[in-house]
Amino acid sequence: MTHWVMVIDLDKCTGCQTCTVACKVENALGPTIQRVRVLANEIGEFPDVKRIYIPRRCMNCEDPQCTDVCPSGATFKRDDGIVAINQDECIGCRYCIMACPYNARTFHAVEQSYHDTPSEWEEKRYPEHTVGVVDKCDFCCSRIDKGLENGQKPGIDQDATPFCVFSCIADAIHFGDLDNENSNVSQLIKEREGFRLLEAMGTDPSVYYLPRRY
Amino acid sequence: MKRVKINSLLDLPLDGVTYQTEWTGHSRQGKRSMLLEIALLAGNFGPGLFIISYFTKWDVGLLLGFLIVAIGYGIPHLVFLGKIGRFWRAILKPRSSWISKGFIFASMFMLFGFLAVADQLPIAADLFAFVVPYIDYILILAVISALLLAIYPGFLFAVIRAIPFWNSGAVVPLFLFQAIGAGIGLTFIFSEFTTMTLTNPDLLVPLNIVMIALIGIAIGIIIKSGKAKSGSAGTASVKQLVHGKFRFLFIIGAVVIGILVPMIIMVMSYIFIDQSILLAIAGVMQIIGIISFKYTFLNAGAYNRLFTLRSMSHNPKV
Repeated sequence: MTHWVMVIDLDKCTGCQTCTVACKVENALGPTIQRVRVLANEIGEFPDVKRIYIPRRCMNCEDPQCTDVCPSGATFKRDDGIVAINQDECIGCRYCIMACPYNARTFHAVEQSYHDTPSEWEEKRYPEHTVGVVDKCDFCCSRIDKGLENGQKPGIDQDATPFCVFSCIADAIHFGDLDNENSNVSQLIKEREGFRLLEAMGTDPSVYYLPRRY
Repeated sequence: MKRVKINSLLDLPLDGVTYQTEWTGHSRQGKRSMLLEIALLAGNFGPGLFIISYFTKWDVGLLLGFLIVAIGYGIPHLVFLGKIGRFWRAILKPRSSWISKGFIFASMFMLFGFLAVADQLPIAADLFAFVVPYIDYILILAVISALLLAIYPGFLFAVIRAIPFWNSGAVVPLFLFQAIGAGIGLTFIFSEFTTMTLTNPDLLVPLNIVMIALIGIAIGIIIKSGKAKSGSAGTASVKQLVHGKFRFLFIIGAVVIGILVPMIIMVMSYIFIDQSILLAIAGVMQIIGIISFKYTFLNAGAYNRLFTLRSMSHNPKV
């Protein structure tokens, strides 16, 4: 079995938002739609101030609460661990948005583009996220599927890897198969004792974070 | 960027929880609407009035209860959907989704409720005359579906573990008590201001006293359980209600006007004052209280913080 996970190194993340922008470019998302959000917080008092960045996207949980509450079955879990949305079946009730503990989902309420008329790329990708449906990170599953068809390896070959992963300028994001003990993600999680957000909620997320060492 | 001053770098403060905005219409795209709030109230008042009207044998109340659900509950729900034309898909997962179950309950009520009141509708009376021999059974089915319709929103909220304030065992009974209480309150109001004759006042007044008391207890349990989840968004939600921007609406609206004053009036009516106007005033206050509580309950729902510094670093000196 395959279990795709993402590993984010908090030592390296600089909060540059390249992953956020890369995701918007790849998926042709409108101005107010974000699949990736880099959460930032400052702690301490001058001069002893630290800034923490947590890139947050859909955790593609192993026990997702969103799939249970979805009344139409539009949100579903694939065999490879990715939680996907069938935009043709979503009715836009937004119960999944309420149920997600990570605030990872967004509702497309209005038609929007960055310019007066949509670009060619925006028009091409629009049918995948029309007005009135919910959107979220799906680990660029279309890239993964196409890459696998072409014999490529997700996490290693760029064309088969989520766009944000190889866009990261700090090489802070890694992607691979957790079920493969020898994969880079498995080894990173083991060596650096990767943790997950809100583990106590029992969602079993597929996004791991490598803790800061300093 | 919000600056925070904390004693320990290991635990971030409670400020900065995220409140749910999607169901109150404060979405990121800025579309404000009260559709779900209206639907929530209608889905409480309509079934409640229908149930009470069944027991008080008030036919017009049955019709009003049905119309409140049909217009005030059904239409706002449909309009709220992002894809209205796909509304029928909402029924596809009744095993796991409370929206699917609610869709079924609402459909049952619309069917049986309509058949139960068809004789009061100008055109439908003749078309549906065939149901008259079975009206008693249809009414029972309609009352059962009204009960389910009144209760299911409680489950809808209570199963959302992501919002600790809503994730309480008292939410489901609260919705039931509020439905019955609203039904009684509306009955008192209509009996005072219309030609309706109030039957069974000796039953309704003590029943309303019990309902108001149970509503107060359930709200108290929800507040207590929210506070008990210390360090989480439950505490933030309670703070919003008791100290924050909803304090006026919650304390004055939901508690004082919605529970305390009607309780005093009901007890006085039960013991020594027999004035129907007082019952109607209490009914109005109950309705105001339920509206205030539902609004603040919906808006105060908050999500847990995603992380603390402790969860991010192995160095306790960070």
